[in-house]
Amino acid sequence: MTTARPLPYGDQAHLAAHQFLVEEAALLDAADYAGWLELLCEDIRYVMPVRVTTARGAGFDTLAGMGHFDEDLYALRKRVQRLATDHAWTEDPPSRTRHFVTNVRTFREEGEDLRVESALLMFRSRGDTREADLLSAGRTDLLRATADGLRLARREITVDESVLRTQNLAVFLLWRTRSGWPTSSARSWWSACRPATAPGCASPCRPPAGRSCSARSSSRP
Amino acid sequence: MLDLASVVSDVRRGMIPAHVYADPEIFALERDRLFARSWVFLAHESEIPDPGDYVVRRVLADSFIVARDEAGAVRVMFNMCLHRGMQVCRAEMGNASHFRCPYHAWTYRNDGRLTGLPFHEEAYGGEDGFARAGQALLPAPSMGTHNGLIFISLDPGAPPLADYLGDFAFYLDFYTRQSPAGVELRGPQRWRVKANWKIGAENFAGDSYHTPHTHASVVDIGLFREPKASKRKEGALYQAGPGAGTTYKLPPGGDFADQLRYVGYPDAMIPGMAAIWSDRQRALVADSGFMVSAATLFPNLSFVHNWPQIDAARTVVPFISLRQWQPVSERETEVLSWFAVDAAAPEDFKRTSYKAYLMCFGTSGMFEQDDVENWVSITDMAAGSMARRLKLNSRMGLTSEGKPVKPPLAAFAGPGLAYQGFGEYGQRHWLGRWSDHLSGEAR
Repeated sequence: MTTARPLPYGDQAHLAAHQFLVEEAALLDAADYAGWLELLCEDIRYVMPVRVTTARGAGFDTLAGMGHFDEDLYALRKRVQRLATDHAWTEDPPSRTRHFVTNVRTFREEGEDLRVESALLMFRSRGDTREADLLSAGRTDLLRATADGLRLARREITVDESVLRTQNLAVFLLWRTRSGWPTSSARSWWSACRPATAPGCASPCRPPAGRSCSARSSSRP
Repeated sequence: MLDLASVVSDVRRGMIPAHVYADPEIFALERDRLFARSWVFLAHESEIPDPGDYVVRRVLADSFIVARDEAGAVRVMFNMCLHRGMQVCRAEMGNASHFRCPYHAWTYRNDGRLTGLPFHEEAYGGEDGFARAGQALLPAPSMGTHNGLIFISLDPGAPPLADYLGDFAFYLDFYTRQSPAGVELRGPQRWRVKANWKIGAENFAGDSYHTPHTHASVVDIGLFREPKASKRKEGALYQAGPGAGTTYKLPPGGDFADQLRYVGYPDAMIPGMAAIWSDRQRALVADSGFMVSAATLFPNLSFVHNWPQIDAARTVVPFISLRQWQPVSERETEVLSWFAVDAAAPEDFKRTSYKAYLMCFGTSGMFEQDDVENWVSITDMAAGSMARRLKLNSRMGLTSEGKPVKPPLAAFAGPGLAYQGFGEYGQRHWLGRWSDHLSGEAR
């Protein structure tokens, strides 16, 4: 059953979802990217629309057909693999980053699935002469209950700048992956993704019945 | 104190005074002598397909509304109210029949004409005090389009765009005209980097030499089927008109369709390219055996065409990106990066090509990440006193007498000059134009 209001903060499902986000953050803070990949469903869709400045009445505030990210598991694995090479200069020396995750709200979706909204403030410092970057974003996640616990099936990141003030998003998925509140566009994206073959989805939004996410040793880069 | 004659002289012989990448005096000259005169890209017609559609774009500090008016014509208008100078349109895109200034409600149609002026009679005594007829937002001094690309120049006496593009138009088609349907642009992703705008423009104009090392990581992870180091030096570097670019050498023996299939184009798209490209353009691919990759059209519009492996089955899919290096200051640049695809391409190709783009370029692209790290660092280093004592050697491919180490390719179907192997020909070509503008010799 889908709930329209967030679960009480004492609800076991909310506590589990909140813990998932914090544990995920801990993995990333420890640079355990392989461990982070283990948290993803095989049919993960990881998107970050481009925000645009539009008139209040325009009815949209993201670009159509263009994001900062629109990733499947293959693409995310490649990004993690790249950072593990000796030649990913943009993060060697690495940035000093810290992400602040707050405003966590959990909604019951169909079955045992949970929709989790959170907010993120990301601090990134590089070198000794550059000004640090701040990046504020919201996030809407779909967490799927599996035999191995909750796994991330969907993530939409709603960044709060139209022109990003950071040199790239090399670190975003690794360090900044956790926050969100649904804008109107995010809500429509979300609901559009509910049917298995919704338009705009790169792949079916839900795995076939009976298929579940499981830990995959093969996902290690 | 800036000794411009000396800077230009050094640049012309391929020795680049390092401070030009972080110098406020140079930046002021670029604004006044280069961007005040050159043709500059603003938008593509596919971004504003319907009457009333608009985007707002800049040339340095000048904001322009690029709109399709009710009659379907593209208009480029300075985004400043005639009355008190307010920015008339503060959104960056949308659809509107009119733009109303928030300050005193002067209202302009989407072709720029002033139609609304509150209390015209009471405040001005009507037409007698202020003749409303004929008033319009300032149009771009010069405007032109090519393959749907909308350019303006702040110089009302600019040469026609077609004359400006010259021989580079030949190469522009590979990126922006793959069928009669034309190309469609999606985006742009926008982000600010603490790097001088020239560095990216020069890089795309001809720096094949950085690929093997800067982008070693994407080869390490198998994003490409071939090692970039050996492939890159087999490519041709061309310089033509206001542009310059890089290519990859294609495998020997294939015909036109084989070569397009090799870089991942589906059979459905090949007739479009075969039909719309000239004999000479097809010959560049089929006979010369080169496929275009990165390029820059002076001053600040770059292109990239590449063909990564996008899934576990190692499917090779090409993508095209346009990107603009919009100067903010001598030490900061806004990058605008579009994904471009043939409007008539199959939907499945559009989807996978978009994926290929996101994996490689733009804010999160695995290529672009490492490029920008380098360019930010160069800009940082160029800002100090020691950089004024250092001239960066940009003479690769030249002998000490200034002659090419190797002769230009004889069997190269494209216009302009082309050289095979590493060399900073394209960067010097770009810097030559830059020198023409800064020294006031450009026309």
